[in-house]
Amino acid sequence: MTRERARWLRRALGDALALPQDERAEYLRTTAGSDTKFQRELRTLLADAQSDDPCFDPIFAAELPEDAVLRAGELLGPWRLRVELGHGGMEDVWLAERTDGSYEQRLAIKFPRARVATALSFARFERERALIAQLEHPGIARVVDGGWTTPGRPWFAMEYVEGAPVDVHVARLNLDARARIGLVSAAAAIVAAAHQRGIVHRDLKPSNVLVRADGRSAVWEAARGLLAPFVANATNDNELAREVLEYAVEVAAARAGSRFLAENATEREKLLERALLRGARMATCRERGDPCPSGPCKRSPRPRQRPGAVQRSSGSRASAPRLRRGTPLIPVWTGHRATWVRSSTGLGARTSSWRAI
Amino acid sequence: MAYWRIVCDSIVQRIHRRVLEHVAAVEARQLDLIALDVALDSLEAADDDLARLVELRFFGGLSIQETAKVLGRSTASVERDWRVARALLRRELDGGPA
Repeated sequence: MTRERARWLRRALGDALALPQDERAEYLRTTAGSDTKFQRELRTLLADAQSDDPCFDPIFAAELPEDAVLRAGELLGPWRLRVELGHGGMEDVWLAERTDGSYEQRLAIKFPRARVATALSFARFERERALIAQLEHPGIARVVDGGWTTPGRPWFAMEYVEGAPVDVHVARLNLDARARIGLVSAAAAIVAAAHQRGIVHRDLKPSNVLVRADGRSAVWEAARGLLAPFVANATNDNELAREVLEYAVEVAAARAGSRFLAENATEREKLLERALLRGARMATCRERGDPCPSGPCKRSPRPRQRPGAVQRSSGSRASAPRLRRGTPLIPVWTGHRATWVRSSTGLGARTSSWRAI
Repeated sequence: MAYWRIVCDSIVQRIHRRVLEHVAAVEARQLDLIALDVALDSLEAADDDLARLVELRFFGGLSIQETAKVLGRSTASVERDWRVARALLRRELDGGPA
């Protein structure tokens, strides 16, 4: 399919889909002109576009329905929700106040979003809550309270930091280089304190580093509740693998000086999944006995099959690619692509980069 | 050094297990992972916008609304493009234009 043709098809189909359903076929018939083969092609494409093919639904779509909407005034223990502070892809953040009048305190309360609220991420959320609670540092927002809402949504309450993100703060006061460096080194000291406990942030960016209103101390805010253990504290293998991958991406992004990757969580997620898929493809090549270079895996020489007709010797589990022990592959990032290389060449470099950090 | 090698090797093996789970999840839908990857490559060659959309939706797990926000476009046009991309992918998976 050439680019011109793709563009044409996209416009024609898009225009047709914008019309009411019963006018679409007629529109495409006139667009296609007298070429019957072409008419047929468009008809098939339109049928596919109109059907709700669950095949391409997101792999990680939530299995839970969207949570009940949170409303101002709702009570969580002694805390009353006031206003929504942030609404991210991963979690919602609310400002809350103590209601029993014993003393005045304001908190930021965090809830994971339904999309990420699978059982697995609930477990992770719980664990992160416990982790942050362990971290006592004047530069890290404290965890004050936590629990579950009645529909079964976990939450935790953190110290509410009145202040501005470091980039906003710097721009507003038009700080000079010396002051900026001071802020960065203050933040670095906080990050180092967490690293000493085997915890990486995973989402470090200017908007997660807050400067208190007094202008002196930088505060490391776990905006997505994303304080994550690196090696020592992970609870299960899959989570660990994911974290290590994310950490590797963080390191790779930092090394490449790629602000885009370092700041764009969605892009990083996408990249991760892509890397996993590429890895899976390579593993499958191995299983089929195709020669697999240590570079990016080329397409299999086997004739392509219809997806419905995938032959399987037995259950999908049993036919999953089996990996040889002792020659692990690790991803090496170049731009948006991962190259999977054997550990004998890759691990040395990776190891030294971990140690250097 | 030796310690790090052991740690890294075990981590990498765990990553592989995770990869295998992905394979299982996708296979459960009767979707040939390799064919999909090849199809996505050819879609990318023809229209990188659409390929990006598929990546955000399918691999990133974003909803239509979230995708629209990331791409800075309206939900209606993202929804239309998503349908078009799906149809093109489906055709590619079924063996190209008739």
